[in-house]
Amino acid sequence: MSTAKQMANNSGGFSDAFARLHVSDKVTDGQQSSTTITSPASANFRDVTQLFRQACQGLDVGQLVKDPNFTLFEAVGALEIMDPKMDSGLLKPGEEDTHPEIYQPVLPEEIIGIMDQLLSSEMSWHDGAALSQTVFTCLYIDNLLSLGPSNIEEAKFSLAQSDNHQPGTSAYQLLHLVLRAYCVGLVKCCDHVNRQILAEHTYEEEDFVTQTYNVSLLEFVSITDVNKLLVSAIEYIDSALAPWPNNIKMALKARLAFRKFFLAELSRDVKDMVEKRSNWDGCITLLSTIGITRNLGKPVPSVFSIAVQRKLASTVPPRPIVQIPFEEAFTIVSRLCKDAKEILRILNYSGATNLMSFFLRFTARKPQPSTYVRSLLQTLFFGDHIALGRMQISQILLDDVKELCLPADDLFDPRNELSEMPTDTRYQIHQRMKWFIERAGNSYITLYRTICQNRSRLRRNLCHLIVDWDALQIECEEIDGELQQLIKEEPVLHNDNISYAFSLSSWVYHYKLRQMEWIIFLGFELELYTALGRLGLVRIPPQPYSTDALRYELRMKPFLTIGCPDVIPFDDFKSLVDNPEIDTLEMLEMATENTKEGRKNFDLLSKMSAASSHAILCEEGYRLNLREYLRSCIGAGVAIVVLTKAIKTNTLVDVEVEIDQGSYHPWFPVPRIASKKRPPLPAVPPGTTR
Amino acid sequence: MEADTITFKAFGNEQITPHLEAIRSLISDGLSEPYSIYVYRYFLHQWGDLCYLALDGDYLIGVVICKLEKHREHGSHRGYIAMLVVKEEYRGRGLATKLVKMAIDAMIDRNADEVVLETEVTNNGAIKLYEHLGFLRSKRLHRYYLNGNSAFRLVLYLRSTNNIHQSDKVDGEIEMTDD
Repeated sequence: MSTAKQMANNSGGFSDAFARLHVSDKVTDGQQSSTTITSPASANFRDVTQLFRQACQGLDVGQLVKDPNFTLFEAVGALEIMDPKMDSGLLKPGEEDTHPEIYQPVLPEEIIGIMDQLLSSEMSWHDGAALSQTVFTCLYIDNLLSLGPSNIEEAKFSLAQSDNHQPGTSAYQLLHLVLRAYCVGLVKCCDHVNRQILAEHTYEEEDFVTQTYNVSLLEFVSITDVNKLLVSAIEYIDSALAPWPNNIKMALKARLAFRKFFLAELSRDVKDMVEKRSNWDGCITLLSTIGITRNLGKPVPSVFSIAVQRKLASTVPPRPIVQIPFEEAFTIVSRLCKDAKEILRILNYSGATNLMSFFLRFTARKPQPSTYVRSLLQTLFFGDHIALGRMQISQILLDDVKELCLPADDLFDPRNELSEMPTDTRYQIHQRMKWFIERAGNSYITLYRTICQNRSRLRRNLCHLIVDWDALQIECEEIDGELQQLIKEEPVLHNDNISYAFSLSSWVYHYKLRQMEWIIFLGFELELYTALGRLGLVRIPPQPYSTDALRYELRMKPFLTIGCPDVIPFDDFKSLVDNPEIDTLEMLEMATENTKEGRKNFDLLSKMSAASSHAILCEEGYRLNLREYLRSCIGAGVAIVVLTKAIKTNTLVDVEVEIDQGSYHPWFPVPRIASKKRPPLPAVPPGTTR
Repeated sequence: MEADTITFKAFGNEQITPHLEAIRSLISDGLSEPYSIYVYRYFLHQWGDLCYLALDGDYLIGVVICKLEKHREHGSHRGYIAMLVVKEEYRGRGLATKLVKMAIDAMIDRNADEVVLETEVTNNGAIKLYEHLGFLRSKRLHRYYLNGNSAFRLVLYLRSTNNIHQSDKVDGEIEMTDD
């Protein structure tokens, strides 16, 4: 059982209660009115202490009074004061709630160290930890934000007087100009990341924690002012006033300049991205300088403290500091910049199926692109209800239908729209296409958005989506029938049967089937399925509480309500899979043929051009995916050979099986079969299939 | 740790079983999530008969806490295993399996249609335990726990859904911990 989601939902706390008050006001008034909160002084209070005491006497020890409406949700959301696991304000024995002076560094190396620690904190946040565990644990960030600065002048440190930091000295400038500028830039970056993530669909506390504990992330400070501050810090470092060696200057400048560039990219809107080139490359170049100068930094662990959590308005239990190692943070931020640059490709629209391929390939990448990038991808696709920053979604939808189903031109004739006479065929065609665009358009947009979710959610959400696509298919079949008449479609003879195009419903069916396929394969990727074997190599325990038939039903659950295709009844499935009449060796021979056939076909696919593979926007990922398929075919082939040999030489008892997740296609894990006596056979070495 | 000193019993209610504090500290030590007193009372007060304890003499060494109720208005009669802990030095002796079996048997007696639970994806011991009883992994829950770990939802069908309400076949789940 998890408590996390409840905490997230309750995290509004006090302000949440006000929000509810607001709603109920509106409901009772039945009109738009501003909220009036009655002053406590005017309320009529009654002392119920006696009543309460009296009622308590009627209770035995261990007896419980429970409101029937008290839910698990509320129980789980409750926190116990003075419990170390739940009370973030709790002081451990010997701990004091004083605020010791923040250590004030003198060396530029320490400033570089703090900057890199901050990058680690920031990327830990990007990676799913809360601000209260990451960026906010930095005492300098806390110092900067605790008074709620509303402009750039107020966004400064208030530190105790220090002899080493007399105004005008380079030590003073290090702290109050260089580190301050970096911190302000970083917080502003967080502000824009948070805004982006809140703008699109992601899962709070699961993908990302947007909670800011009522601390303003400098939302009222303008980017221009932040830039000016960063530039003046860079200029100071460049000046003769800064008495440090060149490599130190380079390290400090790269970090400040990265903040400036990074912020500029994070704060761009889609229109700007369509019109102007991005500068993610500039960020990437600066990152490499940061990487090279990393060893110049001297970490200052004492300027990060979990004690900051005590002050944050929060109803969540205490959580430990998360600060991933610099190398990991560096990888995450570098990947973020590359991915954010890569998704801009979709702005060069090159057809709907290419767009869909890009979404599928990009989001399947391992490790999965960050929440920020997956959120930004959704905005590029359909932010402000504009597709790709300049198109209507209907165009992409209709392109998709055209590219996959080649429907009759009459359906898309622009003159249809001009007809205003209800009896006119053109008018009637247009009405039906308009219906399709609205009805299917929503499902289509949802599909793209769903593909941008984390992999676990993708599978779960697809299980819901296919129900909608199934209904859509039935509705479209009806419309197809009507369109058939309207355009006087000539049937074609197909396998001795007369058949019609049924373009719209065929298109829907195609996507529904693909989604059903993804659901199944994601089951492998998410390790929901385990392999079973007929030779007893994989031991299946008796499983006393369940039967194969019941487990089959549970596995098929997502598909049980789907009209077409039908779920195969368990008995048919069992005889198909068990093949009791086929000898094991014969079955292995068939499997060998199948893996060979698979290899041949994947070879053919890899010879096709990017254009005919609908992979113009993601050719590299597409080809990598094909290579993984091919490796799975080869790996399975090897496993079959080893197994066949073991059966023929009667050495099956010496054989062990394990599922090899690592080196194959995530959807087609391969059993590694090895002799117990000898070391395991090597997996197919990388590069074999290249 | 003589095996024959270990006994099992249902929690029943707080009057007859003065173990609430022992249960709390056992679970608090064994599981990562922090649970308030309300969570324990929520389960023990309503489904004390589905909570089983393992004791070595008077010493509490294992506990399983469950509930059983309608899943949504027209849904199945769903059992839920909320918490399962066995003290570390008593592990590897089948005590957890025994506790879970007692809970499932009690749920079957009360006409449960299915039993569900979540477990950390890295907890191979627990996954094995449940799968050996017939549970299947039905979904993966990304970063489900407060510590950032993901979970598997495990499900055990005790009877075919054809015999229950048809309306529950589609998983229109509302994301709640008790789901």
